[in-house]
Amino acid sequence: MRMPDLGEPLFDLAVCSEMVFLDLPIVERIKRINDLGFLVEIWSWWDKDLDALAATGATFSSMTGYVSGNLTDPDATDELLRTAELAIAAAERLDCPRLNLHGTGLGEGGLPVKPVHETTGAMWLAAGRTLTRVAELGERAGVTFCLENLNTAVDHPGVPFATAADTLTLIEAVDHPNLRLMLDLYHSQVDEGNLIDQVRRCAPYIGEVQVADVPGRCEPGTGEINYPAVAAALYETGYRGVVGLEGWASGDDVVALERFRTAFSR
Amino acid sequence: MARFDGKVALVTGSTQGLGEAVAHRFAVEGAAGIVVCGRNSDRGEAVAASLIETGTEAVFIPVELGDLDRLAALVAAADARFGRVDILVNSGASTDRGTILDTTPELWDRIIDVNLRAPFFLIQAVARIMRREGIAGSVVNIGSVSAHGSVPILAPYAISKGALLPLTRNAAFALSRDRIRINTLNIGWMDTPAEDVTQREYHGAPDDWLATAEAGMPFGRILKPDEVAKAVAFLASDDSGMMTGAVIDFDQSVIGAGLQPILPPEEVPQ
Repeated sequence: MRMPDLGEPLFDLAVCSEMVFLDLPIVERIKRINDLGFLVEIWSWWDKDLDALAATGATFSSMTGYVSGNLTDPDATDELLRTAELAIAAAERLDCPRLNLHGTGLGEGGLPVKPVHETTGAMWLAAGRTLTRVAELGERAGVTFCLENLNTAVDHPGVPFATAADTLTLIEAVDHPNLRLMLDLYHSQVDEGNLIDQVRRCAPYIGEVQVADVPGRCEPGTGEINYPAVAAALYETGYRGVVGLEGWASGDDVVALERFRTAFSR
Repeated sequence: MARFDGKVALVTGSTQGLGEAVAHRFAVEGAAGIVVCGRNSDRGEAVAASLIETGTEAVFIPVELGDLDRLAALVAAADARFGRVDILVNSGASTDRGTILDTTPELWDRIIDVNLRAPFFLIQAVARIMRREGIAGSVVNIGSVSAHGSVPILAPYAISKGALLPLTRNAAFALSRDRIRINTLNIGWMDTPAEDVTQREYHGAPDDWLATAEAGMPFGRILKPDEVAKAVAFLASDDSGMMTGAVIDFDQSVIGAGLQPILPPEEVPQ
């Protein structure tokens, strides 16, 4: 693969349609993001008209990979697997290759349905077993499930297996090509920092990368992260997958998307 | 305390008509959460927004009742959002027309999938949540007096509604130890937006079809969604006590009474 020219994006770039152009209905948002040359991420699919989404002609990058359930509780793991199959059926309609998971089921406002304040050894083992089943399900369906790291300090208190270090541990342990890491550098910066080293350690296991700046979760350039340096380091690892903006626009949406594109261009 | 305080209800077909009236009835009487669902996203979002204005938590989830995967996702999403389901109202249905002579297998499948298979699997899915949470829940199926036989053009529709009787009784019996109640309201001719479309598009009815139809009725009108919603609320609430497995006619027609209806020559299917 040739090196991108100066000013060209280093990666395939996506934008999360749940956080920009919020004055537009979702279908129009997706058309707008597609028109601007980005792939599209969505969160929930069960509350959307999938035929209308597919008809936009957009290329979908990732979406939520379950509806309910969690990684550790006996009945809830079955529920996670069952709803993961529903997610696969929805993903097929959108031709969406990656399905996103979290350390536990998230409810309203991104808060855990069942908060966890202590992650026991038994929970780690159960999560590993569940993720193995999920990965095997993904293999049969030809999709990749991605476990996303989340921050617990600001947005998602009470989520187990939240840090990039924890999610990477689980993914390394399962070691299956259909289970990868949704490396969210915004969340990682909030709870962990040391992003360039993080990117290098995670690189072999990354399914997709998500970004936003800290604080405020807006587009690159609005906070403390040196995203051009992080982008260069990510490129140097050999990662050539998708980088998605999962953040708000600090002002004008189109300007925010162009700032994101610039930060991840050569 | 209102009848539906703290209750979470899932109402199919609630983007308009009877389902919408039921959702509003539940909201007015204190429901904590309502899942609005149907095919028309614009209407669904509008109904959910109007429910939220009353102080109820409401969410719209688009669903095609013939799609089992979306039905499963619908219930899972309701569970993820509210953690419980207390009431299911199977109000959504297809009233597509077909006689014994002209109904295609495709039309048959579509009507049976929407009107019978969807209620069956929705009851199954919500009953699992009710059992898990120990909820003495209530299911109300919207049937039809056409279940007694009906006119020729409603052949698959009438059959789909007729089959709600054994569904109601079988499920009610099976779930009685869980105190989950299943009842069906067989409603008659009702004044809804869907009926207006049906009259104009299927039957070429003039603008004043409703006034003409109502003038010939014993009560001087046909059923209104709000009055049916009150009956649904009775069945869905503790006011109906241990009533379960009941299939109730709610109409001004009286089955088995009066002159034996004889099919006029012009309505013989060709």
